[in-house]
Amino acid sequence: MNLNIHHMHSTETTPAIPGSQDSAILRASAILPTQHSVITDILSQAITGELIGMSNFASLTEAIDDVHEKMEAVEHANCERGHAEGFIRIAQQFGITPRINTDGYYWKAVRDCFLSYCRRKDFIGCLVIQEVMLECFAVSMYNDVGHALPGEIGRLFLAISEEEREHIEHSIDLLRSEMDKDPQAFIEKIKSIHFDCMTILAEWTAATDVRGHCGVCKGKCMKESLHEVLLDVATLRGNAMNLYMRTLDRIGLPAQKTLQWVVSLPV
Amino acid sequence: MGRQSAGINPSPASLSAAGIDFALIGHQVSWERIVFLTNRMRREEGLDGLPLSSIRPMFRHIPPRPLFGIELMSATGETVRGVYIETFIAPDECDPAHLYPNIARVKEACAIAARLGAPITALGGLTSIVLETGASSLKQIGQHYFTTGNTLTAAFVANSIEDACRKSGRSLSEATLLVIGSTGDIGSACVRWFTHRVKKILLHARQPGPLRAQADALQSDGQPAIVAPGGKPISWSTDLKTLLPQASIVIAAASTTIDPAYGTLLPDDAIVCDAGYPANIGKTFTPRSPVFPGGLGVLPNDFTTDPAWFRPFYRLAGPRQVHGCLLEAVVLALEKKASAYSSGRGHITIAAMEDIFGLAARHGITPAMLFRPTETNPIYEHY
Repeated sequence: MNLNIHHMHSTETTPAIPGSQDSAILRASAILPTQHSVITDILSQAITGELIGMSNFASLTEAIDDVHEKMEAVEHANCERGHAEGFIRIAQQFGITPRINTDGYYWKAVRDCFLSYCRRKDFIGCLVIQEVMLECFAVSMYNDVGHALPGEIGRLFLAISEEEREHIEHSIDLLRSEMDKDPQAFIEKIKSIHFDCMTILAEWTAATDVRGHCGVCKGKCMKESLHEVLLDVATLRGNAMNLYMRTLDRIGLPAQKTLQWVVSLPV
Repeated sequence: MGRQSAGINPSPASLSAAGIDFALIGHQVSWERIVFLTNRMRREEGLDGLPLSSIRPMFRHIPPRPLFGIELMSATGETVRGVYIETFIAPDECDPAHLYPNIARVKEACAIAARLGAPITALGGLTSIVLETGASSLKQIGQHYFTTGNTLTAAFVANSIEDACRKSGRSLSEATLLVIGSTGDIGSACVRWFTHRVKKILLHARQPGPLRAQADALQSDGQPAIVAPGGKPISWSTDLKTLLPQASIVIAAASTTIDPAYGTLLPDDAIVCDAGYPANIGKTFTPRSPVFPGGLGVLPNDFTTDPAWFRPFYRLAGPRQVHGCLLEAVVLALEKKASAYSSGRGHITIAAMEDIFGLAARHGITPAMLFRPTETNPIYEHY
């Protein structure tokens, strides 16, 4: 699904974009010409990722019976929608036209992976993919990007990073109690989900574009240009994996095993 | 020994269920071993190994975590179980420039040890910097104690030197001992031990102030000493060339870079003991006499790890050899005497060295003889 952001409609939660074309030009001047392309790609990935998260939470409502969890999933979906809109809005403010492609290779693979668990009504599987794996990557990468990007864009990434952190917190107690029921079965289950989903995220953040063009970056792979904003993919990935491992630790998964899973991912 | 439930799950299920008697916190000094460890884990998952270039970027992002369980039996037949916690301090980031991030990692590892319920935890190698830099709050977390293990290390160094003198027919009382890093924790303990046991002690450290104070204290105690750099410019503190020619025994108790040319300054038959992990005196220092690793102990029985395939991960030159700093926690666990036995800097007494050495001996844990690797002998040649 390729979206042209200019065709998206505003709703009551997506206020009209303030500022004129002049102010967009003014803001854009805060971005160095050499940074424009990579910031466009970063926003493209963030918006696409948020839309995938929104879709996942929306799909989750069909995989759970508990009405309270169902309502919470809708709330989370709306939250992700708000994040996507926030990124779209700031892109417009800076005169940036992101490419939003939920059919891009990695994001579609993530979505398909999530749906495979959703179709089985595997609530725990869905929760682990969305609220642990994807949110760990979002929280960590938004934090890194937020500190690297200038002004308003950076601040938005940092603010959304903090909001996404709440999703991780939401899942930890629930998953911990699930593990207590049958630790060995839970470990095996998480291992299976890890290799299903984290393999995709690991390939997405591998040193090179191992699966060809992702379909979201506008030009060449943005990994090659991250240095323009003083970032590098190894650090982004490393910090994300760090948060992922810490989250698995908090759930109570065996620390040596989770290390073994992580070092067994594609690099 | 107190058994407490674990708040973080180490790998072996048996450990978290039954509790642990001790923990060991460590770090790696070579990328080769890290490559081995990583690829061993990958092979367990049926994957090919990775080159160092792929492993290096991920390593420094791994948070401290327990890696494997350890079980060992003393000569008295008592079994204790522990856990090894890796800090994931990168081998090329052991220098002072990374002090604060490394301290943060060690503190995190200490918190893990406490959550796992280890009554006593040893801080191996560089990780003892936390306790040596005076962070007194890390002597214990609740009822969980931390030790640098330096007292047993110093005792092993001293005993190994004496043993080497005996075996080589030298008179200790006629020897001139040079202690590199003499104001450090292990260095000052060695100075204390050998005071009045050797003819002369040569002191060397980076900071002239503490060095002069140490020399003054020694001389007031009647021990002939030669002081360098003696309050002169700080550059003297690393200049060993005036001291090396006089030394018949050298204990390197601090990490230092020695000019390769100084290798020829030492007498050919000098006994040189490097008490450090990572090795204190760099690979560039190649005196004509061999440099022996010191501060190691030997277990009466081999230890096992859980998972078993981690056993080669900790492998020293000789069979059943383990660093003294780690063994101090094992001895305290066997004795059910959890305490911050070694902490701070410069507090190690001769009595404490004798006590922990005696306790270790009771469980069949003895100092390793000084040895050296040779090109022709893969087993290593004993002194």
